[in-house]
Amino acid sequence: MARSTRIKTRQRSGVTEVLCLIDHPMETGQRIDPRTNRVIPAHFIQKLIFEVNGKQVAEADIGTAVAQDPVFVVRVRGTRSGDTIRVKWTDNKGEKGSASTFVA
Amino acid sequence: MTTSNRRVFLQRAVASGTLAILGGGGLLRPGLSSAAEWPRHAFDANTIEQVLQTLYGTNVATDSTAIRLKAPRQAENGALVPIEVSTTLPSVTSIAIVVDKNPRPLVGVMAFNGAEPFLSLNIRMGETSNVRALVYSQDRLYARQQVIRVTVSGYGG
Repeated sequence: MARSTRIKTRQRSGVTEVLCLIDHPMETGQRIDPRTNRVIPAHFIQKLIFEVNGKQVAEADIGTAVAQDPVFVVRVRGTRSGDTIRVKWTDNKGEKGSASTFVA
Repeated sequence: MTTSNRRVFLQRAVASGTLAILGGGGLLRPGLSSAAEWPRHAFDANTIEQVLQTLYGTNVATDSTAIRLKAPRQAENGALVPIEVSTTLPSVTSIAIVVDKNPRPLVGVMAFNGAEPFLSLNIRMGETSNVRALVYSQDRLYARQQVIRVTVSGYGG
């Protein structure tokens, strides 16, 4: 299933703030499907990598306690107009996603 | 990277690899390696002590007012609790969020290699609990904590 990964940047007092929004169920593996009475298997993002012009600047490892459709914010100093900002993620089922944008 | 740094890195890589084979914790140093594995042992841990030991190799965290933990005192819905962590501590390599009473306390950990030490997440909480922000700075672990009251569990039951 294709999941939407969105990214945008904004300037905040000398800092470039990168916002990433990923459509993802972030299933905990603890919920029970009321129709089947079975546990809904865990399905969650595990790793996110943030890059500026191809160089990794931050990396996040997350578990099932991150809410559904997560939003991630990364702050970077010293970027220039036209710099490429990219986010890549993988989940526990091997699904991947990425998105990139330019600093305005 | 200087030769000596590389040597230390290789030694650590080998050491953690060996631990992983032995089924041990694999002393992970957030921010050290760019191709690090997802720290399964830390996420599977069910006590704070285990999380700290697995992630940082210590269970001592010094309380620090140089950490800012922005979180609500009360959350109606445990499925979506906004948390923001920032700090003025120097040379921060990672920030983690831990919820004491969650079935798996570790929420997430972010390693920095150029980005500002800042972490913002909407987290899930099962019940009213102490929430900790952990900051690793210059080979030491610092913490700031706050209790968040939860009305409805974020784990759907």
